[in-house]
Amino acid sequence: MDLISEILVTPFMQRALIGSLLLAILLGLFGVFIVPRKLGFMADGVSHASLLGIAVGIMFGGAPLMWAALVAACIGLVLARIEDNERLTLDSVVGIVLVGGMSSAVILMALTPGYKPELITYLFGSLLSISWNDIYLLIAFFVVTLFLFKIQWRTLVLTTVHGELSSVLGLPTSAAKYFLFVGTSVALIAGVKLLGVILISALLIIPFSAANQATRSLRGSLILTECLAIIGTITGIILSYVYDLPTGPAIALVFVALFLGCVIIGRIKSRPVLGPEHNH
Amino acid sequence: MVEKSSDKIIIHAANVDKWFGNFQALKGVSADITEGEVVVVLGPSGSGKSTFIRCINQLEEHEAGEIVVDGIEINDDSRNLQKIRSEVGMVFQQFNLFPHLTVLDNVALAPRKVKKMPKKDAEELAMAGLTRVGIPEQAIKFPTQLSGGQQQRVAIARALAMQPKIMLFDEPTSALDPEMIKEVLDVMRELAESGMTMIIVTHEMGFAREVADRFLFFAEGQIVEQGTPDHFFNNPQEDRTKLFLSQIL
Ligand SMILES: Nc1ncnc2c1ncn2[C@@H]1O[C@H](COP(=O)(O)OP(=O)(O)O)[C@@H](O)[C@H]1O
Ligand SMILES: [Mg+2]
Repeated sequence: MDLISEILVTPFMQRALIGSLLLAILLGLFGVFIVPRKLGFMADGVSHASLLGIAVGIMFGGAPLMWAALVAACIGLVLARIEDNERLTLDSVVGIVLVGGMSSAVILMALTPGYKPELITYLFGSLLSISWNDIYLLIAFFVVTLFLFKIQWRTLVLTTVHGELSSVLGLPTSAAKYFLFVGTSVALIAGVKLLGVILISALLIIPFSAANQATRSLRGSLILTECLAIIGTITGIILSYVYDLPTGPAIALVFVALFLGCVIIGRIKSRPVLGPEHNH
Repeated sequence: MVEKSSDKIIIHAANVDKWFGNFQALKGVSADITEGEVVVVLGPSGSGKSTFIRCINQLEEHEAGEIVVDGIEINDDSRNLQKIRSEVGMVFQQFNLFPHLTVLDNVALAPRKVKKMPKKDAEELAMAGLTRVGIPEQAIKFPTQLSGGQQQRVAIARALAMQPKIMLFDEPTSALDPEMIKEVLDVMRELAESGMTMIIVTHEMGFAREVADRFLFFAEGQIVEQGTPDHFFNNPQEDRTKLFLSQIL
């Protein structure tokens, strides 16, 4: 009880909890569509490569995360275009982007004189780094994104459950796809202060992957995904506060544990609804 | 068999090449299909049958050659693609219904989303389609509550709900239990008799012989032989055709 009231009156913890709640809902939701489409690796590529934006921000001034969001949105746009290209496979391009972005970021950093204490924050997240301004921005992003989800919901569901069939039926799939790619990319950056670029994809990928082990219906896995995302982030934040652990790794490990728990539960139950698509 | 009312070529394929990486799945395939014609595509597994029909509605992009569907050339213009997709219905071997939508919603979906039809009109159209394939009473169930044969009939109704000019079938009965094959073939036979242009990949030779105007026989990515069913049953020319028919009949 003491601990809880202490946490609730500590301003930086208030910010961290509000922020993590919004991020968990957002990234959990994107994960419901990203994971079944086998785009999890894309998320890693985007977040790692966005370190370039952070390096640019640190070196030349301006908010590093704004630069990172710009970089991420551009990468998301390009990857959405490439997805159906037969000459380039998506994961090879993601691999190239990841390597290219990170290497140029590290070289930029090396060229910048002086000590860069904030770098570790961007790599692994830090509770103390989240400001009220960050929270206001996050709320705005949250509202806009939920609105776009509402508009694209049906198409997202249909193209995720059966992409080829959606194409054959002539459903307009491309607006939903661009929303998914760009929205996910920017949402990942929104979570960088919490988990860091290295680990942020955990919040996108693990909640749905875990939920999908334990439920069969679309609605069920959606609800469970959001619950797990919220529980995992908040538990991780509290552990990180109490034991003074790096925030990102603490949250990520809680998610790994939740995932293992769901795998065990899922062994007792049955097969997933949103599996990878089979064709001919 | 119905007399063909026109000789209008509705699908024109010329020298179509399709590569998967270093593997050439289609090697200069050419075929002209007239309106109302029923074409059955035969050939051993891996010969390119699916790839050919998937190129017609651009589930696969061809690398060389020309495909024109109802006067619209398939190219990089996505408006053309959209038009072609609304004129070409397709029925897959399996995995063909959205599991989270009712049967009625599955059928009404494309008219509502693509043709922007009001919900009520789309549902009426969907019910008419379900009646046509003989299962109006299943409308409010979910796909998993239906037998395989019924699911495939729903898939046909759904394709028909877009009022396509052409229907593609890729082994529509191959995943079904034997006792359900007939009900699906009956629906397809009725469709053929109504004058629909159809391309059907199937191994059901009795059915094929009955409904087809023409057989195309594929081997190793090429059309090796083509002709009427009688030609194939009585007088096949190529060794590969003879071998294939001896295995399947
Ligand atoms: N997406 C794909 N990637 C790589 N190879 C493919 C793909 N689709 C089909 N193929 C290959 O192309 C050839 C023709 O396949 P397909 O058209 O499916 O044959 P069929 O329908 O006659 O059995 C096969 O050798 C198959 O392995
Ligand atoms: Mg096939």
